Amino acid sequence: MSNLFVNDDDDDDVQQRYQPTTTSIKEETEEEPEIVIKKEYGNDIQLEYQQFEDNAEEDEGEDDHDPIIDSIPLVMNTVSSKQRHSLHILQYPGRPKNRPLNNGAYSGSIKLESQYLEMTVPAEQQFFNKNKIDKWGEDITEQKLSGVLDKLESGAFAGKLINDGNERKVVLIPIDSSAQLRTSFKYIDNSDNANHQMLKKEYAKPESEVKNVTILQSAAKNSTQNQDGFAHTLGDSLKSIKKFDEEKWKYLNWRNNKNDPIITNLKNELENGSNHIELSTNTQFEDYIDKLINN
Amino acid sequence: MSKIKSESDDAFNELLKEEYKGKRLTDEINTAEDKWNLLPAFLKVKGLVKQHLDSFNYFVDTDLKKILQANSLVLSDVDPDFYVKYLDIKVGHKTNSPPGYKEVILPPHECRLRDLTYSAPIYVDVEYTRGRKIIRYNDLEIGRMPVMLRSNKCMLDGMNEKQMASVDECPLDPGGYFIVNGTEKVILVQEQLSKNRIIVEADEKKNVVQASVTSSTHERKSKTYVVTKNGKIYLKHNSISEDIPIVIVLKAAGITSDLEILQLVCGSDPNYQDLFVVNFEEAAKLEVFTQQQALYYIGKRVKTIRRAGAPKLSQLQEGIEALATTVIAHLTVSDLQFREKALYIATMARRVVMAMHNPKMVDDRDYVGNKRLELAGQLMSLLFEDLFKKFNSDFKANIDKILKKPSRTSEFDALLSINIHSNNITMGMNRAISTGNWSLKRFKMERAGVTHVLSRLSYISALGMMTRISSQFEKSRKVSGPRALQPSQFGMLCTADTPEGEACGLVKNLALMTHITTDDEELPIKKLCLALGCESIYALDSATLHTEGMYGIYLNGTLIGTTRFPVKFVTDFRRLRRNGKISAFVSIYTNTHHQAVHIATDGGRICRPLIIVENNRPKVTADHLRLLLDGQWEFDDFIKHGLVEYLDVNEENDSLIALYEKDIKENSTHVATTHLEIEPFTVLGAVAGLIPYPHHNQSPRNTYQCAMGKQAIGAIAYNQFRRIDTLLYFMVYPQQPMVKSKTIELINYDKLPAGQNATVAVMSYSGYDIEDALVLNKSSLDRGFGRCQVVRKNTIQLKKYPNHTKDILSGMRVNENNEPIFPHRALGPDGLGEVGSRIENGQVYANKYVPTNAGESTLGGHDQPQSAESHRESSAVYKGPEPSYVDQVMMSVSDNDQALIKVLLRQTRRPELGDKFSSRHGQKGVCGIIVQQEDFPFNDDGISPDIIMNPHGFPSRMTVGKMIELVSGKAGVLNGTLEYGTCFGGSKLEDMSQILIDKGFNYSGKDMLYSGITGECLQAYIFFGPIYYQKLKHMVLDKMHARARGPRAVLTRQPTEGRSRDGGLRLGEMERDCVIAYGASQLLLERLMISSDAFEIDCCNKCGLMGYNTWCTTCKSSENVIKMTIPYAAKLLFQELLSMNIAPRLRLGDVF
Repeated sequence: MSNLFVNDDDDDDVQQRYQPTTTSIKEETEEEPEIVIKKEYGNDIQLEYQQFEDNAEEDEGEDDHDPIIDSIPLVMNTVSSKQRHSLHILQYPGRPKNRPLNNGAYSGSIKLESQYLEMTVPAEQQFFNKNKIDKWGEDITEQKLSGVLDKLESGAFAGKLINDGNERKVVLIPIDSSAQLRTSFKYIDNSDNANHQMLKKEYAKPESEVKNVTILQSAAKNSTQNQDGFAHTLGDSLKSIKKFDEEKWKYLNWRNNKNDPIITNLKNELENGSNHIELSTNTQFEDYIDKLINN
Repeated sequence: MSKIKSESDDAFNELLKEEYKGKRLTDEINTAEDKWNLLPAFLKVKGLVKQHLDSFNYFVDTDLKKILQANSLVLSDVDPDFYVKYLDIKVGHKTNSPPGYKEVILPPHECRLRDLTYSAPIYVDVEYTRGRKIIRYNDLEIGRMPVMLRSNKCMLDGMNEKQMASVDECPLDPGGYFIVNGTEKVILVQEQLSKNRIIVEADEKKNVVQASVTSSTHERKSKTYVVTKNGKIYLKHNSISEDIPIVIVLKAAGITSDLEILQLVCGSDPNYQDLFVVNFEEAAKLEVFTQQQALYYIGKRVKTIRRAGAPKLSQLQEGIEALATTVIAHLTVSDLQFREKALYIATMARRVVMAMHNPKMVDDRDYVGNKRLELAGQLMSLLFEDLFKKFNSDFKANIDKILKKPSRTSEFDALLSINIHSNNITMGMNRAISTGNWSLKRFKMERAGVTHVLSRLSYISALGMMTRISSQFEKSRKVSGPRALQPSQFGMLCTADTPEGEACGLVKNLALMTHITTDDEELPIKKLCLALGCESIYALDSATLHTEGMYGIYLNGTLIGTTRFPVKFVTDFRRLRRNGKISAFVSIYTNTHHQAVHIATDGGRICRPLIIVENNRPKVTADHLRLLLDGQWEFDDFIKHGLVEYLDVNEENDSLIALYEKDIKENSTHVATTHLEIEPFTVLGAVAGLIPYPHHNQSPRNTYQCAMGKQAIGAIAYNQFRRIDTLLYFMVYPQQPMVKSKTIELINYDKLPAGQNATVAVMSYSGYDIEDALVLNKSSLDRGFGRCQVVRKNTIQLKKYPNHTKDILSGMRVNENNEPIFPHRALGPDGLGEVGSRIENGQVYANKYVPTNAGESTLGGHDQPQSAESHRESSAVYKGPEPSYVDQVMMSVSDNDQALIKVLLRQTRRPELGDKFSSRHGQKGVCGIIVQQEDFPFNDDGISPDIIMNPHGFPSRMTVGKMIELVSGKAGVLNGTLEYGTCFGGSKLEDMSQILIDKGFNYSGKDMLYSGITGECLQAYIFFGPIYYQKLKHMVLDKMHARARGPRAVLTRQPTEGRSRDGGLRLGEMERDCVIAYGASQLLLERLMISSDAFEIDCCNKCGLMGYNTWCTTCKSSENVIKMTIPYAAKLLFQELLSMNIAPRLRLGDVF
């Protein structure tokens, strides 16, 4: 059976006892469906979709009224090679979790430098206003979802309670980042851009002579400074957008099949993984807080 | 009774030993009564001007480094390899100087005397390229920073009393001001609306709701609004020409789905959804569906101010840039993730929707929690950053100029050209502080009147100035809101101390225990929140954001995440703070209306310490107080051990604070008490703390006293006789008050008092006591009551001129008997007044001569003999109705290498008719008559009063505190003790009456008096006893003025205005009306023309214009010219009219 994913606020290697938030998981019923992608760069990329299930874990916090009845060893597993695999949480806000994904072809692409992920998913045909196709031109069967991959600052983990009859353990798997995927209506933008280009061409012709003059001027101005004495360059945000535009997409595969050997392997690896370290706390609470505040 | 006696006795002995805190170490400690000992402990570490010192220290230690880091690189456009990098900055301390060493120019008092700026050098460590080498240079001086006195860069920091005395400094002087060009300048605390916070306001008449936020970063300041217009919501910003529909803004920020927008703004509340839904239509009508379209929409409407050299942006880029950096500028987006900003805008929209739904959900601008106080450090930091940027750009321009030269003989060393500009920083800071004009180029801000000259009228006036807060509000506007007393200012701002008149309520004063925060780092707090169970906004589902029970966590106004367990979160957070894990000044509170937990780390919040109460028991116990009294603990130990904590105004709202320990139990059934006041009298500030029994007075009286306490003449500082100020008043025999308060002891008013204990009889005498006038006892004046000294500085500069001539001093001139002539009688052989000599009107105290040829140039004058130097007299002559005495003469060299002479002249004044006095209860009065002691009434003991006050002063003023002061004072005199009149406490009236009875007096303080004139006993018992009286600075001698004839203004030929110019006495408009009403036309003619500016003109009766010499220039004849007298101002008017082509023609007729 599958399992739960907990956003624990843990430091990477420190498993502290002070966990006031784990309790919050219990009520979290409206959590979106989550997708775990496992990706390998190069040729072979797999994606796995898993329905999120509510399966709260016991709080091993220090609530006094809550006596400890059983303790379960904690194990931390990571993907075997960071270069080949990384784990991410993909969120699809606005979509109820009990609605299954549409059937059809899924694919993904990523811009690594910009940490930007784009998914292509089959479009919802049910509520689609077919008349609009005339306006937007093409046959729209797929939809683009995209979002920024956010590094999880406090360190988030996927957890799984494994119940092997006699052996029980909780596996923690560090998550690299999370992304909220939102629809980007590329086809509208594309048609807009096309219109724009057309308009531009129509207007541009008579002005071509004037333009030469302006170029000369701006070239002369470039070396001079404004009154503050600071040359103006693109803002930070524009710089990163420029970088984003220049970067090439890398394509990712979608692996959905539960019996796919690569998925099962990876799953297995994560469950009973190589670095089978049982976690215990050495760090004192005070040190933890100090570390948190002072670094 | 005996207990009272011993207690009071001890108090007196303590004072003789000048130590009262360590009293009764062996006595039992009563927490309820002795917890006030925390207050002196607080003041010991915090002091009254600690907010200024803290903020300056923060500026020089932390903020400077941040500024340096933000502007650390200077690059050249010419040579791409060239760079100068600043590594570190220090003020008054070199890298290799010993720890604790403070390098300042001179001791502060010497700077005062010599008109210098008390400053310390600013050193930077730089790394730069010279040719191919990278060179590191330490301790490069880039300018001089004015140093705040008593800050950690000041030499006085950490000095003991003896060391202070050795540099002529007063140990009681609080510091917190600057000395610039010899004058003491204070940067007043400025009150402002908090930055980077959303403020929601509603105009119910116009049916408009708006949420606004003033974003402030190091680079810019801008204001963003989310407003309603016809029920729809728009975003408004100065640099966007048109209001943008909110849905489009949110789409541009990446929230493309309408559903998600609805979730973010309204949650699942149907009321909000109904109000908001119309906005979607707006966006759909405009056909904006995607992020790109929305960005285009915004980009099209951005007002672009293209600076030279800036790249031209496409419309889309403009839109992105506007959203990323211009709108809500304090959240600058530097990558692709706009979520933080989207959430911020959505929150603003939500607050607007909430206020639309429920008009009560608006914020109060005047609420103290929405205010931030800007202190010297912050203002200095703004100024310094501006100057530093200017410095760098000048430096860069200079480097570019040199590097551009194709052939340079030697290798270019950048540091050689850096020194040229170092004067800019020094001068910039000096100029700003000395003029008070703060002009910041990058904010395009001009602010005037930031600094003020520290008032040294008395110790308390200087102290009062340091705790003063000035508001940015315009004084002329007649608004009541900002002037009203806010409930939230309890304990933070003094409730009594505000001026009357136009600045009433706008100028405030800090209360005794107030602390103002400095900036704290945000990042660690953010991390801590995530560790404490805050769910980050990046992983947060929009649908759950506003669900019931979900609380947003806001750090300095910005949403950083949510929690479902706000109570636990807040408790955990507070526990960490009380354990000292996070700064004690970080505040956290829950706002249930907004479902929000707000954490504030920003500077300028007002906060105060309170005792923590847990389980209905205050955490401070007798044992802790014993440690404090033994000197083992300091105030900070109470914070460290989590017994006392600082609460800011917002967090106070989350607490239940008991005034007294007994109140804790009463409330226990309802809500648990969380805190206990340290002392209730700390609601008042330092100045209001002087009033005895203020809680018995009508409140405006306390306010009046706060204004007058600052005008009282008294002792200024221990170094007062070493000071040479423009004008100083000293009281000759100041006394500490018989009835004092704890505040008086805490602020050392008892060591530098301003007033005397006068024996007052409250009775009518002679009729010269109407309208609050006082009757003074002449013998008391002979004994020194109310006697004061006035010293005035006269500065003489001996200038040096470019042609090598200079001003000189010369000795006295003598008459035929070889005696000095009258004007030179006070001079010594050096040409300066002899110390101690008497100077009368018309006598010279500095016999200066200036060269007659000072203007001549030296060029071409070489062949002329130098010995031909001739001088003309330009002596400094004393003018005044009363003679003065030379008190001090100082000769020094100012920083421009010219001789500087200061002559201090002294007058000793005894009270005279019309001098102003006041008690400490806002009861002022002038001296109406001075009566011989023989004629004064006396009591059984033969005591006659110093002052007789008319009883009519009491009924309408309701200053009951004054009466109790008299009773307590009388008891103290009889008992040999000093009594306390502390606010909400002090010596009890019952006990005082008991003492009076025991000493054989009437319990009410009334005595039987005998008339000094008839010897009979008076018909009534007279309220008789000591009251502390202050002599105010308004004295007749400085004001009396009369004139028969004198100087006239050049333009109008009317008499000059004002006493200082020997001006005339104006018969004004209303007086004119009276004279007209009386029909005294000849008097009017005399007053308005003959005695003023009568002028004889020649008027031509033919053309009606004026001519001269019986000749009309218009008619070219003297036929019809008539002489007549008109006011010169009228003649001037006619001529001015003529000059603008209007001909005023006079038509003359016969009077009779």
